[in-house]
Order: sequence, then C-alpha cells, then structure tokens
Amino acid sequence: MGSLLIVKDAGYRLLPFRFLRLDDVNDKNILLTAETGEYLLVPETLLNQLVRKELDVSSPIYKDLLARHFIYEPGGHNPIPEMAAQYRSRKGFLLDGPALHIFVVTLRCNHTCQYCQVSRAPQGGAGHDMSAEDARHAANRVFESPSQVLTIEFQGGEPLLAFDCIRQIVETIEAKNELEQRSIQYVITSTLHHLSDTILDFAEQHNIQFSTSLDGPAFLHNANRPTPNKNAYERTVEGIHRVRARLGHDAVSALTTLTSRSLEHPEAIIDEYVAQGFNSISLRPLSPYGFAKSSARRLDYSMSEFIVFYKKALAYLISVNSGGTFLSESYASLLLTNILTPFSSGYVDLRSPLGAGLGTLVYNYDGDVYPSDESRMLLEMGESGLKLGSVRQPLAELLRSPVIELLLTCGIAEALPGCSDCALVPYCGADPIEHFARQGDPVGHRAFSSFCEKNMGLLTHMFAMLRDGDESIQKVLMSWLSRRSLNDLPSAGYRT
Amino acid sequence: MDSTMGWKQTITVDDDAYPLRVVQRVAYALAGNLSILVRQDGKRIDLEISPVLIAGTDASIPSLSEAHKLVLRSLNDFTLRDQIQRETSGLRELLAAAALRGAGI
Repeated sequence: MGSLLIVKDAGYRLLPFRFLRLDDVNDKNILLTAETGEYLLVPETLLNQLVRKELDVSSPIYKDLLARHFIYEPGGHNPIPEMAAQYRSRKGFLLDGPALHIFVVTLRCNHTCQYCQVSRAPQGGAGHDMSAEDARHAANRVFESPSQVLTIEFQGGEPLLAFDCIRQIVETIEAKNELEQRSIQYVITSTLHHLSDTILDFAEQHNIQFSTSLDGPAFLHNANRPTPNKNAYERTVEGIHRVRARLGHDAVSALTTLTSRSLEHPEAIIDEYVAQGFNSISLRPLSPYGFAKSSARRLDYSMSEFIVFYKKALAYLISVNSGGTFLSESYASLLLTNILTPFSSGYVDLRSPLGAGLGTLVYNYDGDVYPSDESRMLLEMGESGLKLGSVRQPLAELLRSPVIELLLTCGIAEALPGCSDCALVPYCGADPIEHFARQGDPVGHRAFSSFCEKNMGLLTHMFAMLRDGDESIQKVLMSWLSRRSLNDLPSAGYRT
Repeated sequence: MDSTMGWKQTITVDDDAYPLRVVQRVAYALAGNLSILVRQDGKRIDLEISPVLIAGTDASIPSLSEAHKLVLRSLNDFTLRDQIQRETSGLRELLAAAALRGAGI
C-alpha cells in the first residue's frame, strides 16, 4: 500500500521508456528514450528520482519529461493518441510495401576485387545474365507493390555489361507506368568503366542516376580494385566526369569500400571526395558476405577498428565542413534523421521490423527472388535457404514465403534479446540476415554482434556529439540533417 | 583464483531484491566480457563470474574489481528496467494497437 500511496501522491505515472549509460565523462550521462523516439540526456540522480516518483512537478525537467512522453498525469491530458500518431510516422515505411527493387542483371564483371561482396563471373562468361523473359516477369512484380514511390536499382557484377537488359526493364516499367503513374527513380550501380554515348543518351532520356564506388585516391582505389591495366581509378573518375557533363553534377553519387589499408587514410579518402566535388561520402565497413568473407584474413578488420577510423574520419569531415565545404557522411545523416526527426530515414538496415523483403526485393540474374542484396550474396557462398521464390510468382505469394515468416520472427528489434532493453532501439534496426551470416543464427547474440557493435558505437557517438559538441559541430550536424550547406542553414532567432 | 583463466569470483544476491529474470538479463548483457554462471537455491542466487578470454583478440580483460563494479551496476540498472517494465506493462501494446487503428488496420 505504501508504494501505491507514493504513486498517487506523485501525481504522475511512467510511460514506457528505456535508458542507457553513455559514458562517465559528463554529468548528463544517462540517455532516456521514449517509445516514440524522443530523448533526453539526464544525470543518473534524475533517473532514480523519475522512477521513484520523486520529481518536483514544478521543475522544467518535469515539464520536459511530460512533453516528451516519458510520463503522464492520470486524469490529465491523454498522451496515447499523439504518441500513436508519432509511432505511426516513425514506422510509416511498413505501410508502403517493397519500394526498393534491385535487379541483378548480370554477374559478369571486369574487376577481380578480393573483397567483392556480391560475387562475379568473368566478363565474357556465358549464362550469367538475366533472361528477357525473367526481366519481363520482374518488371511486373514491381507494380504489385503498393508503394507509390519506387526505386529501381541495377546491380551486378557490372550491370553496364548487360545494358540491353537494363534497357528492356526500363522500357517495360515506363510503359506500365503510363497507367500506374508511380514516382520512379532509376539507379545504376556501376564502376562507370563501360559507359558509352548510347548509355548516356538512354540515361538522359529516362532520368537515370548512377552510383559508383570510389575508394579514395588512386593508390587506394587501384589497390582495392584490380583490373588488367591497373587503371580502375582513372576510368571511374573519367566516368564520373562524363556522367556529370551529360546528366548534371548530382547525377552520380559514390560509395566507399573500406579495406584494412583504407583505415590508415581517413583524411586522404575525404580529400579525394572533396577534390571530386561530391557532397556526400559513405564510410561503410566491409560486409561479411561473398568474397569479402573468404578473403577476410587478408582484408578484414574488427568492428572496433572501424569505429575508431569512423570517429577520426568524422572529426576531419566536420572540420572540412566548418571550413565551408559541404560534404556529409551519409550514415551519420541517416542516424541523425532517426534521432532528431519524427520520421524514420527509411534506410533498409535501420528498420524494425526489418527492411529485407518488406522494403526491398532482389531479382537475381537467374530469375530467383531474394529479400535483400545480402541474402543473394549468401547464395554465392553456398547458402540458398533465403530464397523467396521465382520472378514468375506473384508478389503476394513471394511475401507469404516461409523465409519472410522466419525473418519476421527474428526481425523486430523491440522484441529481440538485448535490443528490447536498449535505449537505442528507436533509432536502430534488426538485421537477421547479417546475424545469420556472421553467427549462423538469425536472432544472434547482441554481445557478439558486429551489427550491434557498429550501431551502438556510432549512435552513442552521435549522442555524445549532440550533447558535447560546440556550436560549429552542432551546425555541421544540422546541415547534414537538412542536406544544406552551412551558408544555407537558417539562423535561429531574429536577424538584424 | 584460477591462474589459467585470469580470475573467478562469486556474487550472491537475494531473489527478492534481484529476481532471476534480472540476473539472467545481466548475464546476457555482459556476455561479451564476462562469463556468468547462474545458480539458484531457494531465494539465494549465485553469479559465478570469470572473464571471457578469446584467443587472438586484443580486447582488454576486466580486472576482478572492475568486473565486480560492472556486475553490481548492471544488476541495479536491470532492476530499474524491470521496475519500469512492470509499471508500464500493457502500454506498449496499447500504443501499437492505437497506431495501427489510426492507419486503418
């Protein structure tokens, strides 16, 4: 009875929330996160007062906790309807169905990268291209998704080696879209070594974007991506210039693949992106799939080494931005979106329920359908159990696959061991396929999970920067969030 | 003390203060650094703790006193989480149901 009286006297009740110790270097070392994703950084004493119902109801922090849905006053304002609306916004991706459709038009490639995560076949190899019939079926699957906004991504191998297949798919989709009227974005993921005027004409006609890989300056890129003439860097940079000259500066973006050699050169990699005029860089660790796993002994590194690299690179990147050059780190931008806005970034890896299958479908060159790029990479390692079915089956049937059921049982972070207690879960995701690849178990153990180590490391670093960063750091982070340069950021308050 | 395994210690707690479900969550959360064997005998719960030693890793091994502090802190943190969970039981489901209803599902 005693505790009940205290609860009644306190005048407030708890709403579901989680907490996490960030570090011991700052007084506000406890991160509180509400179910809706709102957060507060508070001292440990306040956490205890909060739970024991000892808060001063006239204090500013009490009002903050009330406004951010950590507590409510029985008989007062009912917080559930507005919390439900916030929750719906944060999980809005669930209602859209698969929006990212990846077409693996060929496995053929001219590179022989040791770390390659997607597997490949020789450039002139036969039997590794998507057939015209499978391409037609796959194009039909796209429109069975309810999503009004669709991204069609072409991957390989090197997809430009199968340009006729790309042409067929785009033309089929465009013809269907005359009636459907969806918003469709096309992206070709390519080394850009096989660009031609014909390809650029077609890309211009259909508003196709390119995504390429640029691993840093020539010495790094060429070491990572061997070609017979040892000129992968020069050919990719030439391709970037050709795309920009024809389709505009922003028609090509780039991703960085980091080998252990790359970890020694964060500044050089960033300087290369500045020199090439990109406004975004993606610093991503090697994946555990495909050839990347089998050559791990030579090229791999621990996630803790990656996190050290990432923090160093981010500090340099912030100094570059403070100096007037806009270059955002794309994963940091996604995390900031998840932390600081009521919406999810929509990024497939940071979704819960998981993005594989529910947000993404992959149509492999052989007509098989997979829930994500990673699951078809596992196929190239001999694991075929994650196949949903064939492009000839309707989408509804593919999504009723036992694989989807399995992934869903392991793909809701809020219900997973470890994640269910983690204050970072509103901003993170579930990745059963990576856990299956690394631990042989789609649930996985968080204490041994690279996915968890990476996202814990980067998210806590973001919160520490939001808490401790000076004005210049805060401004750079806001510019990444809003995708505007510092000069274009609106100033708070009145201008004179 | 086992010289080949670094060290070993046992922390004993009362089930009324630290229920088994809390102790099990602590053992799970710290599994990357500490190996914790849990034994229950009536109200008494023993946590037999030793450092995790994985060959070829450069992870530093927590000392006996660091581990003691970490386990006690985790026991208290997870007890607090358990209290929050019990007090807000059913609200997450209520929230999810309201969110789905608002989406017409």
